[in-house]
Parts: sequence; structure tokens; C-alpha cells
Amino acid sequence: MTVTVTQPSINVREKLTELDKPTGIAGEAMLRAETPQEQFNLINAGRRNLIINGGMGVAQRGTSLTVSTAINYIIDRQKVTVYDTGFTNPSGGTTSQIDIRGTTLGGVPFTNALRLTPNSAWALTYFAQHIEDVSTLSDTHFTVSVWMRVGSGTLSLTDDARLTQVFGSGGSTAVNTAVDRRLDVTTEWQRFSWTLYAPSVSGKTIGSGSYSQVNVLNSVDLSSFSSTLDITGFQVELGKVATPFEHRSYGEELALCQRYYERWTLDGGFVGTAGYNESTSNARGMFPFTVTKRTAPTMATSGAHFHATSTGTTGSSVDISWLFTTIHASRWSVTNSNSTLVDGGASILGVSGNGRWIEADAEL
Amino acid sequence: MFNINTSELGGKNIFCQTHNHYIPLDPANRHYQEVLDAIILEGADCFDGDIPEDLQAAADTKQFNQQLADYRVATARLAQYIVADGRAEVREMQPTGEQVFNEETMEMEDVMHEVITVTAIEPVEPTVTRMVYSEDDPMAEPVEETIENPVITTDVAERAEAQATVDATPQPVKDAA
Repeated sequence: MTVTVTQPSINVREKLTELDKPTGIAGEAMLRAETPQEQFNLINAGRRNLIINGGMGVAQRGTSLTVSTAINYIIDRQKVTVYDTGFTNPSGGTTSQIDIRGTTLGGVPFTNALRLTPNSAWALTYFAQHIEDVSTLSDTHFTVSVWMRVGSGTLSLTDDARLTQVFGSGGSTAVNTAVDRRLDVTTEWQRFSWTLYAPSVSGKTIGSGSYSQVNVLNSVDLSSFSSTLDITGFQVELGKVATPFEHRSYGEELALCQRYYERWTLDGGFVGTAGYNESTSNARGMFPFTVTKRTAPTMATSGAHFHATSTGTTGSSVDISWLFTTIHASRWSVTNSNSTLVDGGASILGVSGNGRWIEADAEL
Repeated sequence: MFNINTSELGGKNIFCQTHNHYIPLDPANRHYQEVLDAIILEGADCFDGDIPEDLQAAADTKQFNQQLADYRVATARLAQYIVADGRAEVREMQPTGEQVFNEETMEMEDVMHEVITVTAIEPVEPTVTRMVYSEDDPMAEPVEETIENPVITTDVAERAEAQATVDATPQPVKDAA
């Protein structure tokens, strides 16, 4: 016997809306999203911060620098430019990396900050980062955010927030975009943010070494400011909203920084590269970089602290000559005055003393 | 002071004696650009020995491009109207896009109408009056002072700067603009 059962039709959509779901506005928005891309945008997923080392954690050059030239790097990628009156080089004042472990700002724990300690020569002070490839910010709104505090008093910043699109060697003339602002920096950490529009680079000639310079400080007179200015959580992201600071691990930030600058800090022993003896007084070899560089870097060392060691003999300590450099490696040459090397033999590059260094600088 | 450092394999770089830097001959390297700037500014004084021809040529090209960019900015500034004089209205006849048949010439002709192509701008007031308060005596009556309109002052200064740039620009650069 066949039994036919009939049920009334139901509207599934209506039934779903009647469910007592614990979803807020954001949850509803997520459910209403029609594509994975919309959902991606809603939760600000993916890499957002165009600034490298915005948490100020990587400082390969050291932790403090007494200012004596206009352009100063102490924390990787963070460019501090200082001029005395009349665009002359300043003398004195420091830029340094400070430890702020235990400081949680906007729900994000920070480990380090950049500290500016100006003196009376800091008539024009700039703080910026160069974002590689000018086309990274083109025909789009972007938002800059940064945490700042001062050691005492209040610092009123009335400079304009600025983007400078630099089109590289042989490229079009640089384009400046700015918005007026007034920020009152106090002894409490505060997050400041502003939004700019980056003009399109379409039709421009883009040469090698192009970049977008995003300034946090732009021509600020700190010559009569007798305290410190601390900066961290520097973030530049596409769009008109400042989202929470994007944390990246130290290892990630270090690798990103090393595309632009790499320092091997060495204590007595061996550098970690081998070569051959061109003669009894000269050894040569390749110094490979940890990370492929943005462009062929400028090579420098701490001075006459290097020697070649070959089959039990060690040459006198001298400086390294760098013969040829690519984005991958540089070719070193060490010439000893005591001619103790075995001609045609192998050598390893050694270093005497502590705190020596070799650097490869491909910063923008 | 710089000099060229050459390896036996033909590789070259620039050695900066001041900073103990070995600088690759790479336009994307910022120190290389600083070498070009030094050559532009100081000429042979910054180099130990002769400046290599290719390096001098790169410096010349950079200087030419800088001067060209500055010249274009300056001429654009000078092309702006003088705020003290204002700007006269300019009108011209333009086709409306419609055509009529001319029975005399037996041809279709454009219908023309007058269009304002440059709007008039009144000159700014040559002077402005401001009240000056005594710093020594806060109770003293303010004194009225008449000065040149700051808008004019700024305009004159910017035009003078632009004209100086134009005057200093070499003729080959002007010809390329």
C-alpha cells in the first residue's frame, strides 16, 4: 500500500532570519558578503602595512647614533633627516632605539620605539620611510598611523603630512602631496592617523630606484624642544581607515630590512667566507649576502681588522677592498704586508678584535 | 674625495675615501647618486684623478634633467597671472557642433558662438591695513598701519625666484623644454 504524505512548503530564507543567531553587525556583514574578496576586505586580512620595521624592532647598525650628518639611520629603514638653520649639517642630538617591552598600545604589545633627542641644531627635522617602487602608492587613498609621546610637556606639530613620489634615476619630476594637520603630542602614548591621496603614476617615467616617501615629521623645528620624542607603530595601509598595527615577527622584519641593509657584526674569529690566494700577499673571495639586495649595495667595513688565514699562516690585519658587487654578493680582496700566504692555496677571511662589522647598504 | 677602484677582471666601483665606502656604478644606489651630485657641485675637485667619461656623462645628464625640471616649474609659475594686475577675460568664437547650409557658398558651415575661455580675475587690493598693538604698553591704543598686500608680496617674491631660475638656465636646456 502506498501512503502519500503532504507537507506545507516553507520559505527557508525566512526561517533562517528567524533564527536567534548570536551575530552582531560585523557578523551580518560577513554573511551578506557575496565573494571571498569582500570577506577578505571586511576582516582586513592579509599583509596591510607597507612600512617595514614599523615596530622599530630591527636595529642592525646599533642602538644609538649621535647626529652629525643630515641623513641618519639607526633603526632599520627609518630615515631621520636633520638640518641646522640654512640646510647645513647639524651637530649633536641623538636618534636611538629604546626598549618599551611591557607597553601595549591599542591592544598590540610593542617592544621598541625610535627616540629622537634633539638639540638646538635641529631646526628642520624629518622622519620618513621610503617605500620601494613609486607605483606601490598610485591613484589610491592610503592611511598613515603612528604612536607618539614626548618625555615632558607637549609638542604641537603643525607641519603638513606629506607624500613625495620620487620617480628614480632619469624619471619624472617628484610629486608632492600634503595635507594640513595639527597634532598635540603629550607624555601619554597617542595614536595619530591621517589619510592622503596618492596621485596616479600613469604616464610618468619611472626610473630605477623609485620610491614613495611617507613623512611622519616634515620640516619640524625641534631646536627649542628640550625633551624626547618617541615613535613606534608606524603603519601605512591602503584605504581611508587606520586598522590595528600589523605585528610581524622579528625574523620576518629582519629579512625584509636586509633587502635594504645588512650588517655582519663580528667578534674575533672568522667571517664565514672562504677564498683563494692570488699571491703570497693577496687573498680574494666572495662575500655572499644573507638576503638578495634591492640593488647593488655600497660596501663598507669597520676598518683595518681583517686578515686571510691560509694553511696555518695568518696575514696582517688590514681593511678589505671590495672589487665588484652585485645584488647577491661582493668580491673581497685582502692584501697582507707580511706575505705569508701560500700562493694558489685557499684562504678563509678572518677578523681580529670584537665589535667589527661589514655592511652592505642598498637603502633607498 | 672619490677614486675609481678597478679589479683585474674589469669590474669597477667608486671608492669614497671620506667614508670608506665602495660604491657600485649603479644608478639605483643612493650613494652613486650622491657621487653624481658631488661631481655636479664640485666638479673635478671631488675626484682623485680624472673623472671617468661615463661618470661625467651621467652627472651631466642628471644636471640637465634637474635644470629642465626646474625650468619647467619656473616657466609654469611665470605663466600665472600677476595678482596685482588681475586677469582680463578672454573670449573666442567656437563651433557649437551644429551646422547650417549656406545658400551663397552652397556649403555646410559651422554654427559659431562666443565662449569665455579665460575668466576675469580682479586685481587684489594693493595695500592692507592692520592694527598694531604695543608690546610694551598693553593699555595703549592700537595704531593703524598700512602695508603692501601680503598676497602681492608673496607673488612678487615667487615670480622673482622663478625668473632667476629661468635666467640661470642654459640655452640647451631651454631648447629641450
